[in-house]
Amino acid sequence: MKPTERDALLPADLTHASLTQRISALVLERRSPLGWWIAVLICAGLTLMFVLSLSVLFTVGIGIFGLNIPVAWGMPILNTIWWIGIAHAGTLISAVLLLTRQPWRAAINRFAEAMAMFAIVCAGLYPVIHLGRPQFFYYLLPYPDTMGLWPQWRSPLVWDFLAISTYLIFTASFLYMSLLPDLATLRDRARGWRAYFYAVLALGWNGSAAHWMRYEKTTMIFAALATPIVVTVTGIISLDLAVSIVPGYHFTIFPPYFVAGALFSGFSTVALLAVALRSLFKLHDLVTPTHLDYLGRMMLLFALIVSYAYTQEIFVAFYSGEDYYRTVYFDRWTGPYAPIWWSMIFCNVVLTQLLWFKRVRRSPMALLCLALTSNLGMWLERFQIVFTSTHADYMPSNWDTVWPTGWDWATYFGSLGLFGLLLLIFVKLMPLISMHDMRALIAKRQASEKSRDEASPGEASHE
Amino acid sequence: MSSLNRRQWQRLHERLAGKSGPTYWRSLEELADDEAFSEFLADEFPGHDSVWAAPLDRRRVLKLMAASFALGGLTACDGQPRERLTPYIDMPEGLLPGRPRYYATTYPIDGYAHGVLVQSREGRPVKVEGNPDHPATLGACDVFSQASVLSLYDPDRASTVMQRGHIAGYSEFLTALQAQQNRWDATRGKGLAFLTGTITSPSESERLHALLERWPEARWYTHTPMDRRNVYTASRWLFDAPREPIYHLDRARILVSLDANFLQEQPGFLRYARDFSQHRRPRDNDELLRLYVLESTPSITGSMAEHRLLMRYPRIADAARQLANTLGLDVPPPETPAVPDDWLAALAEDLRRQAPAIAVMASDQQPAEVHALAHAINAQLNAFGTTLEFIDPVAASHEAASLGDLNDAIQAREIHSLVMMDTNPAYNAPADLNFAEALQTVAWRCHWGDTYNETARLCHWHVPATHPLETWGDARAFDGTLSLLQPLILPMHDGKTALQFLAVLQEGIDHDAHDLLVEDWRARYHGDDFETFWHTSLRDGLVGDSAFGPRSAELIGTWREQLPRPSPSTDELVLQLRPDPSLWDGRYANNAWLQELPRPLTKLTWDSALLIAPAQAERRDLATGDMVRITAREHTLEAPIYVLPGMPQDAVTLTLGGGRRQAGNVANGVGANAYALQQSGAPWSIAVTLEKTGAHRQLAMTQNHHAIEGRDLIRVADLDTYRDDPHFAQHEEPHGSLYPEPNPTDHEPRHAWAMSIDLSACIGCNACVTACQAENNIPVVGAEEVRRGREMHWIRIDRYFKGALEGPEMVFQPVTCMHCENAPCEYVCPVGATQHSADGLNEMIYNRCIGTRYCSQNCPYKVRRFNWFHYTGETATYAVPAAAYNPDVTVRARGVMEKCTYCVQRINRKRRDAEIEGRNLADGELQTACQQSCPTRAIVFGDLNDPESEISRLKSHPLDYGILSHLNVRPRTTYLAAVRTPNPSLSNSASRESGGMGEVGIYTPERNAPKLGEAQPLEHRSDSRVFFRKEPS
Repeated sequence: MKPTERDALLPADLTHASLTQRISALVLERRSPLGWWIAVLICAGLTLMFVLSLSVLFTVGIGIFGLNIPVAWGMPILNTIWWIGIAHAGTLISAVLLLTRQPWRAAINRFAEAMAMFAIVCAGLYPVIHLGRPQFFYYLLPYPDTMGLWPQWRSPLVWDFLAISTYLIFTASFLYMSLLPDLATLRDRARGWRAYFYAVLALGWNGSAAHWMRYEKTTMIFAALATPIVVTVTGIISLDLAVSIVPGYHFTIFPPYFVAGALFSGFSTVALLAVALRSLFKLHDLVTPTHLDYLGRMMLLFALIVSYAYTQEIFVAFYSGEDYYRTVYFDRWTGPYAPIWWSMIFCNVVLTQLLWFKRVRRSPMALLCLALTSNLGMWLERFQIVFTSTHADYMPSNWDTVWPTGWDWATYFGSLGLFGLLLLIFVKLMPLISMHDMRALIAKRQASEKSRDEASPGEASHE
Repeated sequence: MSSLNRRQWQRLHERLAGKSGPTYWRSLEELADDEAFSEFLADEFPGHDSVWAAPLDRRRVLKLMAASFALGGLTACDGQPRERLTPYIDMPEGLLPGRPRYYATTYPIDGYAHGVLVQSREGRPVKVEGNPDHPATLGACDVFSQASVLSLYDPDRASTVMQRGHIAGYSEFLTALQAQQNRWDATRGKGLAFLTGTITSPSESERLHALLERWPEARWYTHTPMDRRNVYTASRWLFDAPREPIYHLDRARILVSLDANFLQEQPGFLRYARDFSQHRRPRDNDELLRLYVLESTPSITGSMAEHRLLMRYPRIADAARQLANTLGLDVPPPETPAVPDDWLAALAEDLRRQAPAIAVMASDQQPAEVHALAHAINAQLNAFGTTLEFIDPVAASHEAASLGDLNDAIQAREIHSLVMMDTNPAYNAPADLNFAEALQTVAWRCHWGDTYNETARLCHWHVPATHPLETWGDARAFDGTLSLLQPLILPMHDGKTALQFLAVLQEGIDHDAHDLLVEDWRARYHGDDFETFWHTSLRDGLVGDSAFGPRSAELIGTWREQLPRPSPSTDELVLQLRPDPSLWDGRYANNAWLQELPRPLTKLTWDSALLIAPAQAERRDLATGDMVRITAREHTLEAPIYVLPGMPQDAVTLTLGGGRRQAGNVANGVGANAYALQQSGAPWSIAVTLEKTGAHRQLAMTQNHHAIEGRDLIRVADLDTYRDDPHFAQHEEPHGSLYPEPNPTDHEPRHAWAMSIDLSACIGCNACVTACQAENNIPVVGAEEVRRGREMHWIRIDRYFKGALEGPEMVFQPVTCMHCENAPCEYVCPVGATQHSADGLNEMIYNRCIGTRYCSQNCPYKVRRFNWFHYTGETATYAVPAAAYNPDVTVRARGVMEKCTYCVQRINRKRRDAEIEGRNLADGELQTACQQSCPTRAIVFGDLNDPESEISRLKSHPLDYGILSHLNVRPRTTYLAAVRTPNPSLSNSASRESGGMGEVGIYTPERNAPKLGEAQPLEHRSDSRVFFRKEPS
């Protein structure tokens, strides 16, 4: 790592003490900014709407959603895939960037992980929302029942269920693990009930060398585990579609295509949160334009992979010689859902080309807008996959179109509210920037300064 | 269990010897303190062997037992519903709880008897099936009879006597009636009028005549919208006597329909459909029956035609004149010809060649002139006595005067008492009569009927009628066969049978319904042993050999003089009225099964729409669902448009039966009331103007895409192609999978159930749909849910158009669950709620289903149905009363998937019966509900393991093919490709008929295409299924 780059990521005057003071003050001392309260109010309102929709859903039935017989999968499946995708970048930033020792992850990994955690909560709710009889969701579990019944292991939905629950447990553990040293810091600084609260959560961390050694070992193991989990979870979710014989679902390209799409939307969301939180909590010096630049590059990378996947999907459909597959594409381009397809292309392929420009990547406003359009684009992508494939499949007599209902939207925006609310509460309870990771960066800088000083004492004395 | 050696046994005994009190041990090995056991423990539970090795004390055992007990109890948390058992005090004779009993009875459709067998479950009628011995049904069943079960339990049925809108007692009515009777006696009945529906019942007609005898000045009128007045008028012209024709279509080679929808509308339609299909099935015939249809509105009969010509209603008469002229009858030709010359010549030649095995049929709604011409042609070609016979009018009411006459009499203040039976003129009288208003000027009005309907509400008295399933009565079938009605259940409300009501009018005393009928029959019977005769007839549901004999049919010379002058053709837009395929004339409108039954050609439910030709719609900038204001003279009506390919250019059609105001909660306000435009002078067609209102209504259709997109789902060929290449329908089969497949199974199943549907025979009449609905407790979802694509029918009849918009071919394809051997729905269900049975059924396990709907997503046929809401709940909008449910079939709850089961309950009942009796199931003994009701026997179900069975024969027939079988799903339901026999001299002009539009069509083989079995390059296969085949012809 060149010193200049690290310098760009860290303010020059940042010391262990000042960093710890600033970040922990956000949690322990400083009053919440007005923006936080407004955001909480909005998100709480949306969450109430979510609760209301679910109450109606569970009492009246899944029929309140826009679903019918050719299109029996709709917004719930779409949103499962979308939320899972968002979750992925959080895990990836924590894990892959940790494994590859990228210093820029330190400032953003905490809220990326939190984002992953809460996105999975939303993603995990949707499969249950999707069920016709949600009260029996546990039939998917391999539990010993009196009839000796087991889930059907050939069904991708069972894999899906296990994948999402694995991912949820994993992400929760990983997030908690990385919080431990910071929780101890807060415990030491907090007064009153907060001290007890953090003391319980900190599990007796005392910063001893043995603790740090175990911590490092565990996080490395977690990180090594995370990478395959990220790939498999989205891969498995894509198999829900790919294993079927529905034209438009049945593509072998789906697992890698979905992973790329997931990471694309995930990095977009991280960028979105980075821009929002740094302005909300005045962290412009810690989350720097350089961070945004890196996030923009990741977005561009995955946008290009996703674009490539689009072309491959179309190519495969036509190259296969299957008329039914070709029809699906003609329908996507010209049928009732065509605006969805073209908007997706505009968001994911056309607009993302702006990220080639450094000024765009380093502009918080531009990045925020692109993050929003990319997330929208990825949502539209899942929409066109889920809705258009079965609406006009094999037998023309049962072709039909269906559109999301008010309840679909209420549930969707409600889950966005839930996500936002959880995240807002999280940043008030936990340090939103990983103090120990930042301190490690500072320590490295100090160490390298020291070695520079030793290497050229003359220069130092001149200063 | 134990593998202890001698030394260990010894140790064991030693250890036990010194013990007393509670010592527990788990295995002999443990007790023997075997080293191997200790090692095993250490390996199996590393680090925990000490726990296992520790002795168990009493507390620990109790703790474990308590915990196991508690955990075991968790699985039993679902509470069982509380049920009560009530034993019979007097056990009905022969009743075995759980076993259905069948009674033969009759369901009259507009008076004409349809013999039915009704299934009774513990005293409740739940299913109506055809009576195989009855000449009008031959075991098939129509939609109205089948849906009548739901009407029986309809909470909107008339339940009490009503006096001017208030509930009254029957005795009050009797008292009031007595006062009237005295008045009638005083005037010998002057001013008294009876208005009835069609009466074919001999007992009712006798009693009515008795009333007319008692009050000789009283008058009898009859009114039913779909009457046969024109038939009788024509026969008076031709034979100087009223006659009804009956046809023997099984003896015909060529049929010409002059707007006659004889497969769905005329009396005897079920029998006609059966006879018609006799020679339409290539599996049974070398030569096929050819059908020519000239029609004013596309119908299912038209869809079966080899050659179909569209013309508006008034032009049918012109066409009949042309045809009569061409065949050498001296009648005045039309002013402008309606049929192209080549078409006419080809038809005439065909008729001459095949005479006398021909029949020309005219629609009951066509004027008398068309009937007269049709029968003159039949006579000319010597068809009398061969394909048709004339009998005395079946309806005794044919002699009664019309509603128009009654209206005139009322206007002339001649009527002061009006008794109406089974008629609803306040709703269905032609608009120009303004009958509802006239009715209210009558001093004393009484109505007997099954609904407190529009007419009943205008009356002083309303007496509820019994439902046919509650009735002792009789009726005649289309051929005059006497059929008996016997009740399946005591009247649920205070209903009176027709005979009871007539007896009360006569005597003023309430009689027992059964006694009345038996009395009438005893008086009429001349044989020795009445009891035996009566019980035999009751059991059979009909009186044997009671059909009317043919009457001599010699044309009298003067018939030509009766013909009206040819009417000049105008070019104004004409509105044609037709009975609704599901609601008939509106009397069945309050039946939710029928409201939700997709009309065969439009697939429309819960509405009546104005059918309009695409070109006309384009000209007027109208799209399906646009509301228009229809104006006929001074009457207007608003209705939505339905653009139907195949409508004549200059005509629009509206079906009857909509716009009920007082029929009940199901029907009120559904659709538009076509009677509001009807004119008594020309009831079936009238000049109208259309005006776009700007409003739009989304119609509730079960099929939204009407072209087949070049997919080879339906395979049709003409007879010559079929003879050249009988295997034309069998496309290359998929190669087997790389992976092991579940079928055929290793173990030999006893049965292999399968179904075959003959597309040559299917007429798209919907009988199977209603049969399935009744048999399998299929809920009704309502218009809003149908609009959203959530109808629940397990069998749907796909309808596709082929060819030009102006005169397309129409083809039907019933689609059920295919019970794929390699079912794509099964492997995707995460909880295994859909499984394959050993005998080949794809089964749903409702209580395991959690509603992921993955099965439906992965079903290429999309035949699965999902309970989006609690459609069967008591609070559902169209909840079916629990009594109407088939107790053998689970009523599905909210959130579960369902689909066709091949009537697994029927399979298992018959299978068990056969097993108990120690015999094999005979072929044909077992029928699915759809198969049983099918009038054309298009559906065959059976056991593939029986090489002699009909299903085995059909599956090996060259016409057999599976749809989407290239997916390697191996459907158990397959189809027999349709074969038609067009007239070769007309088939070249097909392109002219289709007006130069591109083919979007149904798979038809190329004449010079390589045959199956010949080596063909791989590319060829995909070429034969090219998509978007829209090249200009």
